[in-house]
Amino acid sequence: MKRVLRSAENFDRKLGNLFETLAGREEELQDRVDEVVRGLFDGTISSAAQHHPSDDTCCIPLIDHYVIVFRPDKSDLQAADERRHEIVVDFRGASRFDLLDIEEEELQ
Amino acid sequence: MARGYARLRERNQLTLPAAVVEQIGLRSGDIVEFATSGEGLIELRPARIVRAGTVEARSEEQRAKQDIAEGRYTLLSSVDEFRKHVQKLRKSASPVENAPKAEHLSDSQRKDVEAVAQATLLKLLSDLVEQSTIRKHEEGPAQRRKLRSKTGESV
Repeated sequence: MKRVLRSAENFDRKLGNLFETLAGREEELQDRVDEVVRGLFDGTISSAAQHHPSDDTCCIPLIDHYVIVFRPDKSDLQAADERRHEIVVDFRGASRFDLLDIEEEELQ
Repeated sequence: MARGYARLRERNQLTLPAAVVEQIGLRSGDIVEFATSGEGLIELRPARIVRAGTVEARSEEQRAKQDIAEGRYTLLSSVDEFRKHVQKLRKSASPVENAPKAEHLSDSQRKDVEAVAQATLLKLLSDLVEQSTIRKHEEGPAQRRKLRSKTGESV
């Protein structure tokens, strides 16, 4: 399946700023960005913890506490971990991902 | 079930056994959570990431969705394309790198030009300081004379 990414200008701006924020670790960030993007293209990243059920947006850890927020064009509710009550979204059937935002997240 | 051993090193560093990492499905960059129990056990699990859920965060997402809806996005279909896209973003984020270079000059010529520019700037600055000092010296007696004439004091 041929997949495409649509990188919103808002996402681009945040990604550009992150390279500045993490000055000195650019290579590490670039490697991780490559890894995530490759995973989305080739399907090795096929699920994620759901972000907003209403918006169907997902997130993937990028670096440190930063995550990539994106929206697949197709996704299914896959499972809820009994112990952690963690909802996972399956987007193996998606052919397009909208990259929306890079956020700093808190850990629970 | 995977099981392995690790030695605690300086600064409390541990290397997780590969079999454990593989079974849990951890990847480089993932965050893990440690929790101790009363029985001397340590539980390790992939950390659950929770969105702060701020109004600002939601509005950023909304803004990005609007970008997409209004065609302000870049379409990418390979890792290479994305890499080039990121390179452009990095260049535009650092204007100094983006500044045009005098490509027709050799390195030594460029250094000469920089040295002349630096010397000219220093000269200008020193002239400015000198002029300001002279002006102060000239203004001093004139102001004193003015004050004396106002108060009616004779010299």
